[in-house]
Amino acid sequence: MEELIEILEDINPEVDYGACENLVDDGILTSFELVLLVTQINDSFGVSIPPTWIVPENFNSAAAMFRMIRRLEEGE
Amino acid sequence: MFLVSYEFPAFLMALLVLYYLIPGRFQWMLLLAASCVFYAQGGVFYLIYPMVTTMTTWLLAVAMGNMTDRSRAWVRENNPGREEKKEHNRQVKRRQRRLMTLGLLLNFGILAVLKYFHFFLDNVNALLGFMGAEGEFVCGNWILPLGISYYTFQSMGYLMDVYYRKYDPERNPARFALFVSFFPQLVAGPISRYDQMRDQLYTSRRFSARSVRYGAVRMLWGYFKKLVIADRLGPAVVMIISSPEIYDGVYVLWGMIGYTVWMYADFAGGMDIVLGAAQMFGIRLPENFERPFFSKSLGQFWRRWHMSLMLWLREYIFYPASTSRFSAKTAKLAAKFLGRKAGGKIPVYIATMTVWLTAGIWHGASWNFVVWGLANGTVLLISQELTGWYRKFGEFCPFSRTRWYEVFQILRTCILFAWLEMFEYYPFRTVFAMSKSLFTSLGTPRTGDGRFEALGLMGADLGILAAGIVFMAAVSALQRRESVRDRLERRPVLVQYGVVFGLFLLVLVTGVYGHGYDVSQFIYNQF
Repeated sequence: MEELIEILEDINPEVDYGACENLVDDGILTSFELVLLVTQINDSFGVSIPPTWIVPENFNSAAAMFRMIRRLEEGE
Repeated sequence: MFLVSYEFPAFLMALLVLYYLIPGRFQWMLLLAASCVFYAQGGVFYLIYPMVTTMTTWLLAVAMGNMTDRSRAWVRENNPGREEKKEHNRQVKRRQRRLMTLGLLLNFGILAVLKYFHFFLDNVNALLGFMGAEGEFVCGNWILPLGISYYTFQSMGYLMDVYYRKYDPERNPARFALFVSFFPQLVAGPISRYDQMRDQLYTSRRFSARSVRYGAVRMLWGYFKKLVIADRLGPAVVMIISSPEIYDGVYVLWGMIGYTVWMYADFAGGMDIVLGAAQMFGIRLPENFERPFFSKSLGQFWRRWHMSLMLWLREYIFYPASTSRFSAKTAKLAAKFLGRKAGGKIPVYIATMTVWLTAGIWHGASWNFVVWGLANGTVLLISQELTGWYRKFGEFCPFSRTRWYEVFQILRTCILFAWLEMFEYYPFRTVFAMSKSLFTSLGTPRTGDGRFEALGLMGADLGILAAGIVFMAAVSALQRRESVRDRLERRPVLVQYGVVFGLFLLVLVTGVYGHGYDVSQFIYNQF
């Protein structure tokens, strides 16, 4: 989770990722930043996020992203 | 039959009466029949094109759906281990990918040939001429089927969604045909998603006075934008932008602003008519505009202008392209030279420019549109790279936290958008020449030398246009807090009907109906 927060803060340091739960719905993360995030998550965690998983449910909060990464690591 | 025609309101009213009289289970069939009639007004022969797209997409999607069902049944029966299941899924996806690819190649191929073949041929001839060859390839002209870009993109989005298993395919070909051909959106969008529309298109509906009222008012507002503003402004703008050797200096600025306002009033007005017509049947199509001129950055602007196309490009090109295996390999390779962080950006930049190249090509078969698309993509990438600097500026400059700075951001975005639009209508070098003349010849006379008079916007026309634009902007500003129709709904009935009747009179009296030119098609119909 710390590694994920580091990646997020590198992309946009002005957000409180512990509290924010509408990163995509509120437009805090743009689609460009989302994709940058996806490539960095793929690289850092050794997963491959399918394009169909780039949806608000998976990216609205750091916790949701972490759960998604875990599911991918478990081979879903 | 165009949306702005005497026939369309008559067609719509007759259809509405029938729609709410017949049993609910037949309503979607009536809409399908009406959509075919609507499209056939442009020539029965042209129905072939959406029919081919409909049938091929439906067949391929159902075939993919059958494969998915058989795959799920096999997994249930055989309860395979993890690796076996993965291999099985890989094989199924490979076969489905072939079907999807076939559908994409066929339908985008039809679009490419019909819309871009002459452009391709012109460039081949230009290249041959450059190489000294004599003679040239010639091909006869043909009429582009109305709305081909819209229904093709909509259908191909559906095909890709079925491949990605976002939902199961529609098994009824007639129901799918209605999704492709629903008449309000067929010729100019918005581009819808099947999962947004299936719960609406096929549902039985009872008459709702509110839906009909809201829809009718929205249509009226669309006719106001189109007939009072767009069709009044259009001829003057066309004259300015098609004669840069005559209209330079301050006219460049007027051309920029005029073209932008014309585009918006025409397209957004058309969308109001389309969405209003659909709403009268109880169907909510996706919005295509969200007050774009209140945007504070170009990125934000493009999230509020032609939203359905931008969403399509994001879902079906940007995300898949930037997360593909090719992108991952490109990022790794780039990281060796540029470092991990910068290297990771390269495939995203490539995907961004691919999106904007597609957006440009979608808008038109000419190098102008290609350059326009790439110019927008370039500005967006530069803006993205400057994000860190903007944040630092925000930390150190108190002015950046004021309302005036927001106003500055909004004006900057509008000017930037309007300037980039110049690539659509001027040759590449002319854009820079005209931009230069904006500063070197800004003081050129507005009247007296015949140029302004030739635009045909004098006296009452100019007054109506200015008042109309201010009215449109005021309504847009009010909409930021709450829908104007909702506000109106809370007023006494007499006030509601008074306002609507007033708007109707305004359109009737001040609308431009064929004065000096035929009732002009919507600009975006040509796509």
